[in-house]
Amino acid sequence: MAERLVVIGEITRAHGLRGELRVRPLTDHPERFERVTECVLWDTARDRRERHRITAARRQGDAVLVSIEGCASAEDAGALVGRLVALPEAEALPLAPGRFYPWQLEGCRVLTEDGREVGRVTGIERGAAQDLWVVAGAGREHLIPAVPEIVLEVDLGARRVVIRPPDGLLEL
Amino acid sequence: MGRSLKKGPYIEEKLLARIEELNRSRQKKVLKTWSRRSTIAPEFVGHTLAVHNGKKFIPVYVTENMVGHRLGEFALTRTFKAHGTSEKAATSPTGKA
Repeated sequence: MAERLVVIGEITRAHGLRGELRVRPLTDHPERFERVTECVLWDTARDRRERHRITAARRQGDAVLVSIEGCASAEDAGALVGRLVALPEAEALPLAPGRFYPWQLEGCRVLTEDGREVGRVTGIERGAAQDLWVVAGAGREHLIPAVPEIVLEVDLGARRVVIRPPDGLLEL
Repeated sequence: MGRSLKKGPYIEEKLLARIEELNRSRQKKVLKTWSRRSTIAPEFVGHTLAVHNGKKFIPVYVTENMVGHRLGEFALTRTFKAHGTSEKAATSPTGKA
């Protein structure tokens, strides 16, 4: 099975003539590019993964300009446009207790307080009020507001989420 | 121009009546509504409303800082898909940033 990766950026275009890459950060901490020395360039369409060494990185506005070993011209850089800059999942920045990356929750079993199985988390929808955890089970999809009054417990080790849904939430 | 203070905020009467009934009976039940233009009143806090976004009902758990806003502001009508495996925008049931 392929190594699980976490994406920290996406190459949007070549920058200049010396092979620099303009990267759109997909991390809450774009400054981390300056500390990363090795990354995987991931072509998701063909699931091609290539390890590369990062030789330099600097911020420019919202973007990060990254230089990688072996990419010395605008043509080399242009060939990498669209690739994702990824790291092994183990290198993802740790979060404060009670916070989770969406991909950590995906696949977790969702149970009610009384042990009734609701389904499995398939994704997170960003709501204007609160995040909505998408739970698929028994041929239908449920949206669970991620608030402490409803989500009682998240146990990533056991891949389990316990909820207390108000009447009618699972019938929407 | 804002709505006249004399009139007070607009809240669909039926919706407010249903919320007040839940408050009287101390029940927690999801209420479906199409009234996206209704203003959120303090009575709504702690309830989960299923607000229609034109396609489906979006559950909205009402908190204190939502009072004064319209229900429709919290049930988005367009979806934005982010990259699923990115290191961005962690989610938390505790609501802390």
